[in-house]
Amino acid sequence: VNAPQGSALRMTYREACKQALRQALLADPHVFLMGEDIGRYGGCYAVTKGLLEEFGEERIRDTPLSESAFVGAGIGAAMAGMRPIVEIMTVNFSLVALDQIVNNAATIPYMSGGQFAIPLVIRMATGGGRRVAAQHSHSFEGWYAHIPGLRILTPATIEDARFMLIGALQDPNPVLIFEHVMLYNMEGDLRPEVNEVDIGLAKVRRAGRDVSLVTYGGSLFKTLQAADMLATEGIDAEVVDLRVLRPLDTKAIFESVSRTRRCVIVDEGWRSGSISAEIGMRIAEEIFFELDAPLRRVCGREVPMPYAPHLEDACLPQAEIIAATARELVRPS
Amino acid sequence: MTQKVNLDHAHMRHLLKAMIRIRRFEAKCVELYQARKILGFLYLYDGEEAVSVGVMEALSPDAIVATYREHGQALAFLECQTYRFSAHSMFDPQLYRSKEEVEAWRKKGPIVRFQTCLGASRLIKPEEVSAMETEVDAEIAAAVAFAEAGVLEAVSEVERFVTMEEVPA
Repeated sequence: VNAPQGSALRMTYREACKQALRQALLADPHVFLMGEDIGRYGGCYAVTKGLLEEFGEERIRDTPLSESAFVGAGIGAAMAGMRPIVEIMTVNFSLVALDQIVNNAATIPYMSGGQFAIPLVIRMATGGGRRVAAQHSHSFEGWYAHIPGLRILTPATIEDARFMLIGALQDPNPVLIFEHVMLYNMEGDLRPEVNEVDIGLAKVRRAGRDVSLVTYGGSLFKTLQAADMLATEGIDAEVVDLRVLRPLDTKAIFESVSRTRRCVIVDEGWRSGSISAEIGMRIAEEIFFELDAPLRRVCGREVPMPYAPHLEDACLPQAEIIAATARELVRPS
Repeated sequence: MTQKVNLDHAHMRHLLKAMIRIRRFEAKCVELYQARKILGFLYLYDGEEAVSVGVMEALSPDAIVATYREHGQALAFLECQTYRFSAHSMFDPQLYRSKEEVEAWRKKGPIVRFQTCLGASRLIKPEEVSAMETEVDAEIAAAVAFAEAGVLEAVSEVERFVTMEEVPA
């Protein structure tokens, strides 16, 4: 998996995640991986396949089925000077470890008066679309963005999947990386000249003048698709990829919305008390008078994710509804 | 389990049939999964039927409400040492055991052992077992036909049961 120099390299999002892990393991002997079925089985989404053979059991550690125990162990290891990367199969299972993440990882630096840092990285799969129903399909990254002390990353592109981990490992604080399940098989090109990305800034993925579509993670590509649909009608939509949900890059959001004067926030999470609510409120607080239209949102329907494909699809933001919502702002009927 | 248990003919048939029903129902699930009529995850239970049938028999008329993390397992106060023939899920390539090991355990499965034991004690005739299998297959075929004939739930119903209107009777 050595990257050849000079030419664009085509790979899947899954492979980009794996190469990031491999690079981290090669670069620093303090880095090790822990999680359920990450070793012999190769990870429930096959991200860590082959790493056990290459790096051995000391550094690729299969854990018992206890998220609270192995996240806790990761916190302890990080406090003691290691650089653990913990994998949790899906965000729904991370709730079992919420006590460790919220009450320990996010608070120990503060409660110890700065005597301890927790340079822990936790990766987990998030999001819906795989027909695995109400206990494997939710999007809780917005929830985690509520917690002071955590950094929340949502890589959507191949480049971010490949390079955000390096930045996360350099952060002295706990960093949670959310990988959307529908992105693992997505293919894309890595530009040879890029070998790092920042983990603090939002990025404009498509420039436009008429409306800002603010989104992240798995919804990015549906939103870009919506922007393409709008372009055929003469509506020029800008697409902002948040990339980081905490701390929010509000400067980038304000800059985009101040130009387009209209904003639709697209978030697969539930609407009530969501990251989309936070973004909307910050816009209202800071740049309300720049707006030419009310703020709008396209969010996940507020139900436990249904299993049947037609119902699951109806509960997730889709390009058509994103386009319709933006169209209504630009050209009110 | 050293205590001698006396089972009458009807009860034994009932137990065997319940295990056969689970086994054959799951085989049908695999078929439907492969045909992509069942999506997502599928976890099988084959080789462990005696646990669920036995536990339900002992609990009756109580019921167990289970979700996906209970698959292949019984109650916390019982340790049932079992061997599941199928992989953990349809995504599991079973890197942790050999085909020979699974085959060896298949010969010790609860259905084959119970059936052999009943046959040896002349408590059941081979034709009774085949009749049972035919009955179970018909039940499963009817269930599949019922499902195939079903109509998709309307999207307008998707919020039903997110919260309840009342405590069900």
